[in-house]
Amino acid sequence: MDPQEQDDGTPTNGATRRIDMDAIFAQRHREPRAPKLAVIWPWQSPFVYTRCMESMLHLQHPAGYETDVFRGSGWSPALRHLHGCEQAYSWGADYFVILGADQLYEPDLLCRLVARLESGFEAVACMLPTRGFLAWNHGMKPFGKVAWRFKASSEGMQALARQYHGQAVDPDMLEIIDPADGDMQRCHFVGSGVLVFRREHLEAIKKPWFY
Amino acid sequence: MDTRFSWRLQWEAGATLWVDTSITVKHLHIFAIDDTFSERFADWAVPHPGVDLDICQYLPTAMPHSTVADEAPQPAPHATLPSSFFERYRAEYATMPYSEHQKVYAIIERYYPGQCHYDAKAIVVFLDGLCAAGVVPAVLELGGWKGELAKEMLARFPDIIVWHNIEICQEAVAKSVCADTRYHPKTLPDFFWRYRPLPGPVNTLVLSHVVEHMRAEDFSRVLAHVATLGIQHIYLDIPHITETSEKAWQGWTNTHVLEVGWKRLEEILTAYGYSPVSSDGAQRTYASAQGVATLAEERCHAVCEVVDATV
Repeated sequence: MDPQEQDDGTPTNGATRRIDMDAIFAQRHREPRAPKLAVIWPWQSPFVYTRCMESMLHLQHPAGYETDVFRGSGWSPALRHLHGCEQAYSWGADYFVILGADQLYEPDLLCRLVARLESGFEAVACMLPTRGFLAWNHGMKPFGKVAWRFKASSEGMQALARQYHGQAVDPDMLEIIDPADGDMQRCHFVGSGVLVFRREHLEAIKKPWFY
Repeated sequence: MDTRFSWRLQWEAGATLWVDTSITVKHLHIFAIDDTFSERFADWAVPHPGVDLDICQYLPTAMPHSTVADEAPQPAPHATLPSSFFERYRAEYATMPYSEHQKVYAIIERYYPGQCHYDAKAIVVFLDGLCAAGVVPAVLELGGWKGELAKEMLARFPDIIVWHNIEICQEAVAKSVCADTRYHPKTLPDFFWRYRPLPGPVNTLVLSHVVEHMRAEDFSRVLAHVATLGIQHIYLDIPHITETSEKAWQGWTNTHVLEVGWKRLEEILTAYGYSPVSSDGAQRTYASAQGVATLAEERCHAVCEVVDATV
């Protein structure tokens, strides 16, 4: 799908500013320094999944980018995400990639994500298999991949026709994204197992970024 | 936390969020979970041919003392069914054959044997009104469980000539608590709206805490069916819905599936010729044109008697 195509109806809250990512991207690449790509892995325990570490060590760093890795620690998942992002932000990261510390990655993951950013996709996530079965996720198979979007409606999407109160109350408004529908698909809710976004996004989000 | 962040990326930062489904990621557990796992369990909801379809037979709560049971296991005291049981029921409600619905209620009867969901005060007012209007109630109750309501009302109203209870749960019918000779519990071999002949003659339909266990389409089928029986008076007691509610009931540990509110139900009632007579929150009564005329005539007599007495 063409990332530049007309938005399909994502609600805006009026005050939301549209960030001209193309202009920012062009400016960034005119600067003498290479853009900075921060890889954040939230993890508190002193013990890690060995296979995950091997996988992360084999990740190829995208050419033309300065890449560094930050571990987010803290007593809660939100705090670990916050800590990792704050370190990366202080380092001056232009792009933030959050990678779960209990996953296995293809070596070219970072390069492919960056390629997506360069082709105009603003924020990109991946769908990964769930560990088990979450009964409250409608339509989900055991070990199924999960990412959700609002179902389409005559007004653009369900959220415009009706107030969404969360999955527990309005599960009928969401649908799980089917990978068979295409390589790049619009998404409204996804976890942070693999999630890449830009510095300007963090700056636009009121703190705390994660809670 | 993280899904909220993904929404804030869009809502607060104005980003468009995408998923790249071409990238493969494995999730680590003791083993690495890859894309094939969900397909390995593609038939997880399909029982093995010939297996006992009691979906709760393997629940730990169903077998507190043993992992081997010769008979249908009895739940431990205070054991409850998990919400997943009811979520699955809701998900499969429309496609389950009648026999499967019966099995679900058989399980429910084991875990929740006592079901006294009725407002005795409200239904006494309803039946009092009928008797005062000269109606001799011949009652058809759907989903009357073990006859708790019938027992109480038959003891109170000698004018009731018959009380049929059509109950989907065979076990509940077998454990009837009402010994009144006017009480006739029965389990049908198919959905009520598909079954003939129906008990008759009856003139009063009682649905207490029943309609929320059926979809609006089925409620419509019930009315289409009872309209042929000459039902003149209908008593409804439907909890937890509002005029316009559109509940999904997710997380509710019961078999509620009704997806519409009172407004839509009254449209259905109107379509089958039933008008509202009284409304008191969850308890509402309706009558056919003939029923309304009967009640109005009684009111007229009552007013005349008052006037005569005054004069």
